[in-house]
Amino acid sequence: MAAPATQQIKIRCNDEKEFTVDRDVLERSVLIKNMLEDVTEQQDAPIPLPNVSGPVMAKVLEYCTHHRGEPLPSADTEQSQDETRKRTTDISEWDQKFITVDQEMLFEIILAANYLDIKSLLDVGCKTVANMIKGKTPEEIRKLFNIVNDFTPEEEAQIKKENEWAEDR
Amino acid sequence: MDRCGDSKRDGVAIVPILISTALALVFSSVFWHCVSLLEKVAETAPTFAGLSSEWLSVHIRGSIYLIRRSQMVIPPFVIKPKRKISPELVSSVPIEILELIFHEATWDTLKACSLVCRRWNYLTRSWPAFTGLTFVLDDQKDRRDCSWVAFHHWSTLRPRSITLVQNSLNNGWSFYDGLRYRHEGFDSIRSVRLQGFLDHTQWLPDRLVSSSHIKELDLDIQFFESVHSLFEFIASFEGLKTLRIACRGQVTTQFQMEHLVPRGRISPFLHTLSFGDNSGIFLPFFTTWFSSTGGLQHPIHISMNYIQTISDLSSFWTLLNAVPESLQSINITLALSLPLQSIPSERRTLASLTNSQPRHFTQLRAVTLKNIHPHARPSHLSGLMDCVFRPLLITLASESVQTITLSIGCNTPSMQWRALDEVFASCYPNLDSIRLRSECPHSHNSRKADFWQESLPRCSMENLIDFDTPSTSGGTSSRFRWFARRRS
Repeated sequence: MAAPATQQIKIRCNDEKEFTVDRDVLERSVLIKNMLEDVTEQQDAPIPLPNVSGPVMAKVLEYCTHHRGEPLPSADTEQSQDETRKRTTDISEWDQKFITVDQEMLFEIILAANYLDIKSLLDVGCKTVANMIKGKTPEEIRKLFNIVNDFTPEEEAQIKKENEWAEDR
Repeated sequence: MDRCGDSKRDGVAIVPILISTALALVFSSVFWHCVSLLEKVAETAPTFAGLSSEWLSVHIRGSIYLIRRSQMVIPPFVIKPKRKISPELVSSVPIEILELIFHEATWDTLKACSLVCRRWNYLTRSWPAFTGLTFVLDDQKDRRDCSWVAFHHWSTLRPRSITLVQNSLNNGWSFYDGLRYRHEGFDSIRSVRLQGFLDHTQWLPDRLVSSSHIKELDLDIQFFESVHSLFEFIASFEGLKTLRIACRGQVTTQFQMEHLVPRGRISPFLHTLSFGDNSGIFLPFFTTWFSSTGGLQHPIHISMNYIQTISDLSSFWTLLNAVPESLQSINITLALSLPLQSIPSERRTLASLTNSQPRHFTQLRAVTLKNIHPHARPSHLSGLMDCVFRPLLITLASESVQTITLSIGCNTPSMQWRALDEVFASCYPNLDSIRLRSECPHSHNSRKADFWQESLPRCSMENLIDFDTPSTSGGTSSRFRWFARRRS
């Protein structure tokens, strides 16, 4: 039998922080949803999430709680979305406010969304990063994300040359 | 004098008014300033949590900061520590996530990303838009998009699939970069998709068409002048494994069946054949072609989507005679919206059709039957079940079938399911699973179980997989496999 809507599930993060959350909130995560479906009997032991820390999980749960009840993308629609994926950087107002965090937290949310398989949150995170790098020069992007330039000057010149034709047109 | 004295008295009287007004303004401004300050403080109000005797964690607007207790000499919300992202974190971001990020980027951004570091450069080069190229031939303003860029770096990018679209007949192809003048760089292409009014014979380079590397062809056949040119074109792809045919517009030329002298043979490696929108009228030609040239040698998967008329269904039935006995799966999607039971002529055609079994497919593993109007009225669904679904399942009967997938409609009366239950038992003795797509009118699991136990009494619950069913918690579950579980 499926559990009633109010069933509470415990999860434990990698820093031993525990959360007790409504099942339908947690089922935004396909990973947890599958875990719960595989467990036939109700268990009191918390579900371990070794790849997510407490503070990041708190943010993820904030997102899941806000979006609870919204339909999850099915496998079919996911495929068609991938095929005809529109290049849009639109993010809803609430999501925008939610994702206004420092960069480290942003990337940790993205990694957590990827691990927990929460596609909509992953999309919001990726779109936010895409918006951050939009219109920036390579040097600005490096500075923004603290990335080391490992190109040799020759390699850099070669890539610039390859891209040059687009400037002319 | 009196007037002067009056004016003085008036002046004296005005001063306190002015002062009080000024004070009121000052107080009001100070008050609203304080209110806005309080609002800001409330927004950024920190919450504290002690981590140890030395460290304190402070939550401010969703972020967490660690502060030494001894250093907390000023209010913590005044501190604005700007955390620099660690290089390890960015380098630990998996490739698939970076690809998602790049997918959102425009060409200019992508160009900048390609110059950030070696890893990013590699990823921008292997970006999906570069490996799967789409050229919309009548849209010159798109010249600077990624596909056009990729086109100019064709030889280094090694694209795996190419899609060519021409949306209008009037808008001639001024594609002076000249795909047809390309003589190299086609070896990497495995999949070709051609859409619209594209004159394939004129614009596609011979090297591409004759390439035995191409395994997948998705063809819009509306522009072909004759059946001959169509079949010659398909036959030129010698290594083809998958062929999808559709007609996405009006057919411009009337094909003449009696003049068909088939030339060329379809690829002997073809294993998947799919007919899409409006392709029903072409089915007789394919039947003749396959029958007369001995095509379709491999065990294949065949699908027919959007059968809109009984005549199309009849043509598809005839085509099955030209399909080898080793057919492994069959997928039929019906778009019949007629109340079939009330049209005697259609019923007669269907009856004669389903009485003529195409052939016994000894290796048939899976049968999929779908109706694209799942919310039709019960009487319509009854007609569909009586006249089409059940007869089809009877004629396709095979001991080898292991899976049947059905998508008929949630309003299908229970008695129709019971009739189908007999068909499952008598025609498909080795059936392993019956996949039902949102067929049950009930969403609650216990009622669902009761419904299926009553409707399909001969099927064991372990064999039923009910998917795409609304979950009990209110949302929709993408894959609900409760029925698939074995009961201990």
